[in-house]
Amino acid sequence: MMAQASEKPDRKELTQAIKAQALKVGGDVVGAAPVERWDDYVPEGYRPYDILPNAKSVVVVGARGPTMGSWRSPDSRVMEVNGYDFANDRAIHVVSDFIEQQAGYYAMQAPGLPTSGHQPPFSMMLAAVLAGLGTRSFAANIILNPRYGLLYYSAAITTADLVPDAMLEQDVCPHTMCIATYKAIGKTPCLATCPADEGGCLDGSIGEGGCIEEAFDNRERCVSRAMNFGINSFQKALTDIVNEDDGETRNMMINSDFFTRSCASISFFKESVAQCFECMRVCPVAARHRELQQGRRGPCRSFLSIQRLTRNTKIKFSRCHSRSRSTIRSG
Amino acid sequence: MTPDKRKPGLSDEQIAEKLGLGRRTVAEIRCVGERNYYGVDEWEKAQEFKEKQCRAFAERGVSASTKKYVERRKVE
Repeated sequence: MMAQASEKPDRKELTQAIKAQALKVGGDVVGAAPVERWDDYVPEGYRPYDILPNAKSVVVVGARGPTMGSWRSPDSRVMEVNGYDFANDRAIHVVSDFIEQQAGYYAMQAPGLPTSGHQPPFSMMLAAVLAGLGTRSFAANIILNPRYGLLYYSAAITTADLVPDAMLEQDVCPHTMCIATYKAIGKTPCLATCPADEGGCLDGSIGEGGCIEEAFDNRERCVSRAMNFGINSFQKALTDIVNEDDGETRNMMINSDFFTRSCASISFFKESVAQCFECMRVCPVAARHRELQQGRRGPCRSFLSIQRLTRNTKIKFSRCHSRSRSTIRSG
Repeated sequence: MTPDKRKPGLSDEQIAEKLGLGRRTVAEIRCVGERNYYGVDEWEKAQEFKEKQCRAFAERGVSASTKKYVERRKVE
């Protein structure tokens, strides 16, 4: 049992208690970062202490989304509605309450959802990197955790001074399997799945050091896929509907599957986030968490073709370190 | 990435300062620009892409994505 608010626990004890709580209430990973780490990465107005005065630390919780069964479904609509269940949001809410009620420090859920276009007041992706939970990837800059791959992140900003976690020294992306694939065919699996030069979202290159040399993500197209049904699609369909002169056509548009799903996404919200998983589906990082192994060793069945493809490819790259010489572009 | 190599986007405040506009004006222009970038047909195409890709992976694994590039390399 933690000390009550009147008798504050020491820094290490408090950090451990918060982390234990986060894992207990649904987080798969948890990390802490001092607020000063934001100074080099974001402009004034978007730092933790701009949101909560006198903030000292940020606690970041990551949770897995789809179950292995959902990953196996051949119907993409399953993932649109089942892919994300807000486990990280629930956990961070409990963590914030815990910090205030048990430790006596201010805490608040960091505001992750966009309040102005696509721009969130606080980046959960950056928070995850700064708390040592992952690094950016070729796949739309998604933060990959070395153990779990794709995770959903939430953060709590607090006035408590916590013991920080070190940022990851080694990039999670590209995986050695992807480096070999890139060498063989000029694309990693994610870049081959959603290539920007063929109507997709992603492009990039791996440098001599085996790290991301350049990464491109067509963000607006990615929005159309990852947030296929939601506010965007509702607004676009509504524009077409109000500009349609023919009453019968207008009626069909209003009752169409596309507009109905757009309305449902707004009503139930859950359908409006994380609706495209195709670049992550082919990512070898933590693929074992997407496919039951049942005693098997070696790569997952879905990745055997890569193993064959790269069998004779010698990897001469030495693995690079994070904060490397890469350039991230966004279209 | 080291700070000297990063190419972060500008905040609305930074854009406003550069252009001599109000922050809210910049935010409105940006939001409309983001929403209008692609028409509704891109959202329709997104469904086709995901349905096709998801089923292909269920049937053939990662080779559903990489095979065409392997064949292109063979031709080269």
